[in-house]
Amino acid sequence: MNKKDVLLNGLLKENPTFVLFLGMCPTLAVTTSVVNAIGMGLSTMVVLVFSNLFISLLRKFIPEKVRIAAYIVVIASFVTLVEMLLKAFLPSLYSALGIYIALIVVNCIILGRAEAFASKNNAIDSMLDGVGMGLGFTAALTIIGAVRELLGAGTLFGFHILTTHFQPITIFVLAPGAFLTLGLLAMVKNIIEMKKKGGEENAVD
Amino acid sequence: MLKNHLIKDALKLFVITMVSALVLAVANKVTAPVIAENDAKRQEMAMQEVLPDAKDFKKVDTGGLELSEKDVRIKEFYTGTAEERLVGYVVDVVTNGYGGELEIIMGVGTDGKICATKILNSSETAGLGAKASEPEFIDQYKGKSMLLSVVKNEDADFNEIEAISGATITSEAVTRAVNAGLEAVGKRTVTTSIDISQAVNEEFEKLDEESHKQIEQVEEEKADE
Repeated sequence: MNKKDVLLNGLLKENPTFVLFLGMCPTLAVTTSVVNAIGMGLSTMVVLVFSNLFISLLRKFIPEKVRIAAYIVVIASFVTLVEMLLKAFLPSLYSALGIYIALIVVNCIILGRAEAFASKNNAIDSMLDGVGMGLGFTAALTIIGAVRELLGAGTLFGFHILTTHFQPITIFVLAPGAFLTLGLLAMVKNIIEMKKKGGEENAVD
Repeated sequence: MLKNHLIKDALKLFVITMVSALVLAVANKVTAPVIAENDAKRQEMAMQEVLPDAKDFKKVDTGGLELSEKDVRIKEFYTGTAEERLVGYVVDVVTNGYGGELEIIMGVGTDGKICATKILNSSETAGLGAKASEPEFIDQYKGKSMLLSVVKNEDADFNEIEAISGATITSEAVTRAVNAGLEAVGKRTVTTSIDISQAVNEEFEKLDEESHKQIEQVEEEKADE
């Protein structure tokens, strides 16, 4: 796999949200608005890039049998470290991202990529995989966030878009709306993909 | 052989955890004082915002203060002074909103009226409960001094707060916190005035005793003569 494929893999072919269905908890929880979605997506990307780097560098040291425990320790320590540093030296950024940082630890994309990619590839490819997966995650979250914010509150990025004649469908910013939006978007994505294949294969691999 | 592997794996994991713990310990040592300072600064700014007349804030112990509202906790209570003169109180109240803990900070003048209210921390639903921090809602509390209730119609009376549509639970949580804050200020001012009257009484008693002593002395002197 060349570098470009590694990078693009996370965006489309193995999009963490719509294909791998990883990291559903933060996906459903924070996509109530576009701003939240982008914040969560980008912070996850930063953590993903560095956790992939660490895991890749340590891949020869970490013993096979205790690898999951080792990954969790490395990831959790790194996230905690980032949280402390942000809180101390960039408090304004922390107040904007603070709620996401703790959630990143439980995001299984991070652990998933450590196991599936970083533990088997070199440092540069692993970082590229982190960037690609992070961008794919951010893009998916942003789309879900945009749909939910637009339908549920009539706004985008906090600006009123549909106000005068549109009664916001409140359920879209509540928990059930997250499931509805995710399901509908995954359906749209699958339909497009099936059309692309000319309907030869029904199942998406 | 198998045993050897087990010990080797365990040792490696131990090394990883030790290094991680060490890194975190060092980072914590470095960042903890800075974080505490940032928090204090943020608190100070929020206090200044809700009670702009005050220049100095002094923390007051509110232990044992009984509130009639349930599900509310007074986190901090400050008196605000400017040039040694009391100008008001700042109360930091925590309650439960729709999405978890909701923390507000409010400034109350010496006349018992609310100067400003601000949401410090909340995790309310975006687009609904999160609207509580918008001026349209939160500024309704300005100037209020009595027990408030939430109404859903548009023409709210003086002691009523118009709910955010679709977020009644949040509106009620903020109002509950504000009511608790007002109650705390009320009780606190009563106790301070009791403190003052007690102090005055004690002073009078002392004066009384002294004058009695003087009279006794004078009488004794007379008797001596």
